[in-house]
Amino acid sequence: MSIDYDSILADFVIEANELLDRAESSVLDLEKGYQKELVDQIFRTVHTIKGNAGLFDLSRISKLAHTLENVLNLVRNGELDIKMNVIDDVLISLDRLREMIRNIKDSESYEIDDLLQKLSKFTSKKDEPKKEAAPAQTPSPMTIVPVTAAPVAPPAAERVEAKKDEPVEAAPEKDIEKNVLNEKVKTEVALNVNRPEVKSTLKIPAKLLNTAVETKQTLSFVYINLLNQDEKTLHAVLQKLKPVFDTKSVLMHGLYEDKIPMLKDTWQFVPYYLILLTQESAAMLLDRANVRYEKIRVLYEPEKSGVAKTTDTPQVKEIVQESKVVSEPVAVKVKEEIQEKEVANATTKVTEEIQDSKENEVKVAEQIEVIPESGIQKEQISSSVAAIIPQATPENREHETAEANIMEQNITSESYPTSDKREDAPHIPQKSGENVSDTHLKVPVKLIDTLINLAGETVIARNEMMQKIDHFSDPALEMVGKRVSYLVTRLQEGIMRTRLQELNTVFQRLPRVVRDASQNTGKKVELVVEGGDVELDKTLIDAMGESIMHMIRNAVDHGLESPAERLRVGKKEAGIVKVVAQLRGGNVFLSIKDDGRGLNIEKIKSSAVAKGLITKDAASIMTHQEAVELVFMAGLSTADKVTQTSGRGVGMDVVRSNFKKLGGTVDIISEMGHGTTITATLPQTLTIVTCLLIRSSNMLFALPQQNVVELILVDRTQMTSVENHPMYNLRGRLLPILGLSSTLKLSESDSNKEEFIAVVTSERHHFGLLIDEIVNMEEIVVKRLGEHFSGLSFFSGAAIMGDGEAVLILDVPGLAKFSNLQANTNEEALLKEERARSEADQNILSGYLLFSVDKQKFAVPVQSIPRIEKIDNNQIEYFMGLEVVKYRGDVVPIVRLEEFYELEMKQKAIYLIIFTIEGMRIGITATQVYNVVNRLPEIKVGRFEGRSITGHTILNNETTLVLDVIDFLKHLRESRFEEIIEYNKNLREDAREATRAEVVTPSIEEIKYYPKPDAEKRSVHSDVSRTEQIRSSRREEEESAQVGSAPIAETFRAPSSPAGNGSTQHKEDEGKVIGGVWKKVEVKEQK
Amino acid sequence: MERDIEQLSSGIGTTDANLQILTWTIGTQLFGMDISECKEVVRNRQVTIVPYAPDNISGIVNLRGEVVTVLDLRKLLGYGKDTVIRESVIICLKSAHSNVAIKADTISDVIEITKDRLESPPAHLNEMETRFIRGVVLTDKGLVVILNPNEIVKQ
Repeated sequence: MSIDYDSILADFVIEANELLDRAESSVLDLEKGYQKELVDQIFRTVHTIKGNAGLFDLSRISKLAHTLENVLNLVRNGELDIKMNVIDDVLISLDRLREMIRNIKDSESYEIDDLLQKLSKFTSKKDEPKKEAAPAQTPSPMTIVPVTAAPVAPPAAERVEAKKDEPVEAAPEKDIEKNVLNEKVKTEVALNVNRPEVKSTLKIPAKLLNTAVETKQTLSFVYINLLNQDEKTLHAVLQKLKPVFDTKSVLMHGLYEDKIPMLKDTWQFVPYYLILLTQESAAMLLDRANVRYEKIRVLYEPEKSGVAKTTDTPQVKEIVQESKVVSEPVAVKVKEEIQEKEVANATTKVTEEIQDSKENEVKVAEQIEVIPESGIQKEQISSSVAAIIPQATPENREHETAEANIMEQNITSESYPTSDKREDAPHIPQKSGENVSDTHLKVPVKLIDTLINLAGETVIARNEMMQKIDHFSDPALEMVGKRVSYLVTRLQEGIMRTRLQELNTVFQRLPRVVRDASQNTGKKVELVVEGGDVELDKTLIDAMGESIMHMIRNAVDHGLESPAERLRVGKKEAGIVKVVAQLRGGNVFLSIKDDGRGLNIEKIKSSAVAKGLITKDAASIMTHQEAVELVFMAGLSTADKVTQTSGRGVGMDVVRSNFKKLGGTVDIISEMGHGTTITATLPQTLTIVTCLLIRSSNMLFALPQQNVVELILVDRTQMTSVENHPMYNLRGRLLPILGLSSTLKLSESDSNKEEFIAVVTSERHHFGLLIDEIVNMEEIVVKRLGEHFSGLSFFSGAAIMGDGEAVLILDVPGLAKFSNLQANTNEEALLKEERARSEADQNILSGYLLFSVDKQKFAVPVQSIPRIEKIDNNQIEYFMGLEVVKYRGDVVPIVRLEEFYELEMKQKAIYLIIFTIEGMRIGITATQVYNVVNRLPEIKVGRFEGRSITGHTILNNETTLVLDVIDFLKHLRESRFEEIIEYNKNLREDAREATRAEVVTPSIEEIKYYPKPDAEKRSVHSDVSRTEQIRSSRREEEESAQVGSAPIAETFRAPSSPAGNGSTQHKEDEGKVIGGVWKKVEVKEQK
Repeated sequence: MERDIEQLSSGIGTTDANLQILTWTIGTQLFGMDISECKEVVRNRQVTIVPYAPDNISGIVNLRGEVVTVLDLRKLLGYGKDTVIRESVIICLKSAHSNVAIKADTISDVIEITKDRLESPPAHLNEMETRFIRGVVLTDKGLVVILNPNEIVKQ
């Protein structure tokens, strides 16, 4: 069998990094307060690394880890206080290890002597005084009793269980171990029962035993069967056990793993163990609680004889009687200097116990201890059975009572090192060892990518198959097809999810960052992290990790005040940095918030001016938010001096461009004196991007939706050129135009087919892309282009469409760069201005929708595009005597204008225009739907009186009634409509409860009414141009047969010229709306 | 198809002495390549043209969810302009680091030859042309130009 050294080494690197992460976070927790299990965990981690490094002959890593281990061991045994300098050195050592592991090939060239020296200072410091004190101070010396044929006990400090065939480990390390050995306060007895298949190691920390000895109480191991307690439910069993726990005599407890039956067996018992420290015998306690026990094993009894057999439990006696199977010699090794009479006693007892355990070959493995994973087999419960033997066994049952309090104190005491802390320790290795390895698999990313590809391909094949199946019209086949289809969808979803990783992989590094930053700055920081379970594409996590760190450092360094300053302004001494991640829609929303002093606007401005980034004049007219945004400019730093933490001026601009590269955004809000909040959004996965599919010269392209600002229908009259560069007059501003076809040289001649402009934006550019056709919006899977195309900056990749065609994805910044477009950096300001203007315009009438009912023409003022549905007579229902249709979960009443106005009706109404007014939808019937016009000629009032009629106007020689829908609704409300409103409200609430998603109605169908049209004085600015809305309109398009939303939308979005110039509002051929043509709107049939 | 080829190559096998050659035509010329270097042959895939791509690249195509670069052998070997043939065949090459395919007009048989029949490229070809050619072999169907996939992938 050949071993691929490199791949094993790679595994080691991955694993070591994980271990170091874990160790680091434990160290940081340790800083907050001593916890025994944390030290144990760090110790184990370092030990594993050491062991693995040894396998690969990485002597330096191994050596450093070993030295670190020694220090940790001192800490673990309570001989070295965890002080700042210890933590620091440990962290530095971990860092060094990490670095060495990162450059694993060169790890031998790293200098580690400095650290070794530092670390050995701790060990040697402790060594010298201890050496003399040791014999006296350590009443609980090392007792190792390997039952195996092993001639020598494994060095205890190694904490590696010697297996039968590996009796001694790490011989060269013995010298160092000796020191540690001397100080061992640990008693450890290893028993190896002659049952290789039941390899169980249960060890109890010696401290427990010490406690027992000191408090003169009985320490017993009890093993009970949870299913044998005459209770029906587990809960009841636990209730039954409660009195036992209430006595506070339980030091450790847990599932007794060695006895857990195989899953295939019928479960007759659920083994559970308790380690009890009691004054009376454990049996009595349990009997009192009416708990049935399988076995009690007394580990220590404060009586004269150290013989374990003197137990009350009949079970053990029985077992002893069964005893016949002693098969191996028992070797007892006891350190010479600690041989005292207790030890002698202990030895005797050990021997006897061993015999006990051997005799009772099935059940005697009762001792438990933390077993750090051996270097080779990490986190594996090692193979021997160990028992703890008290080193001193004076027993006096009568004396029990007096010590009760002492024991109590020991257990509850928070000071360290206390013995009771150890009780939790055994759970950790089992937890981390089993959970991680049992529930997680390491899978190469490449394999996952292959699976994703295959899943995509399967979907395409599935689509093809479904089409074929349709030809057969065989119900059975269709059934199978549908099932396959469903399964394929599920499969694909599942596989896509495998690329997602929890944000915790980044978040767990944050405490360290905060710690370092707070140490460097001397500020006190409290870090709050939420949402570490949010999942994100692995590439994104890797790419944004550094940015998050940077923002955190910023928050601590710039954001938070010094403790003194905080106290002065009445804040808590420790500043709070809060990191929150949430999943919203398909995006991950991240916010990093500090409660510090906020950004100093004046300082930022003056710094920007001083660095020549903005002019003084510009600075003086800046709004607060604009000034805040300055921090995103390259080269700006407000830090007075460059510190290790920040101030180099390459900060937030890099962060922002990083996020932009990943398809996200970064924004900052700051309030003087109250802190700064940075919010960032990211798509959950990079591999799926929402794109607008467009066509140019018969080629399909994908345009990332995040780049698209709006889509407009070309009005040729607005096309101009500046120095031969085409420009477009968009709402009074010149927009540079790129013809996609000509830029990419797709066709020889300049086609006049280019009817649309996609206004696109990137970080530095804002321009219009001239295209032939807008196809639709689609979520596509991004694939990389081969290296042959690396020179083509204007494609960011390719996507595979449902029909299997490969489509190129346009890269907007690349296109701009390729065409030598000047960066228009003030675009952001421009965009904002536009946004502000369109917001201001929200309340201003935008246009009139023209439609007819039979011959009568109507105009309705609309702010944005109403939904237009084709009436399907089958869908019309009757509700409380009214005609209604169901629409998006609402019951929408239908109003027939012909009835309302008693119009002559020759043609049937085939359309339904759905308005949403004050949250209420109504549908108005129409025989034909025309255009949206920006303005109407003068509206004359009075001649045509009628309910809800604003007035009339003459449009294209046709008298057109202008409808006042608000008034209209008012009339309707007076009738039975109220009931429908009420009904819908309930309906909606129900729906909201049922599914929380999809309640938001897209704004595109929200229509605002302008009660008194005063159109002549106004120019129109579209507010429906945001891509978000395009998107929603696209979405809706799929859902319903819709009257050419695109034509209406585009016309409607067609830019208007400044006020008063009414006749150039539209494309020439259709532009003369006023007194012009009634343009018919085509209806797309539902697929 | 992939499996077919693999079976072929493993079943009969390109032994030490023998070569399994997949052959195809471009125009009237027969080309061939060691079958163990070929991954898959697909027909009727629409090749998406990539604007501004190097001359010798036809475009990209979707092969099992992978975007594969399609090389134009005509251009590569200097055979002049690609006459438009709708029914082209795409031969995907095995390559560790990139997805590359070549376009052929029609696919032909798999032939087995002994290695010693492989002759060096004709001397009158220039260096540019010989780079991609591993050798030529004379068969009953005519001269087959055996290509060197490693050089092609490098392109």
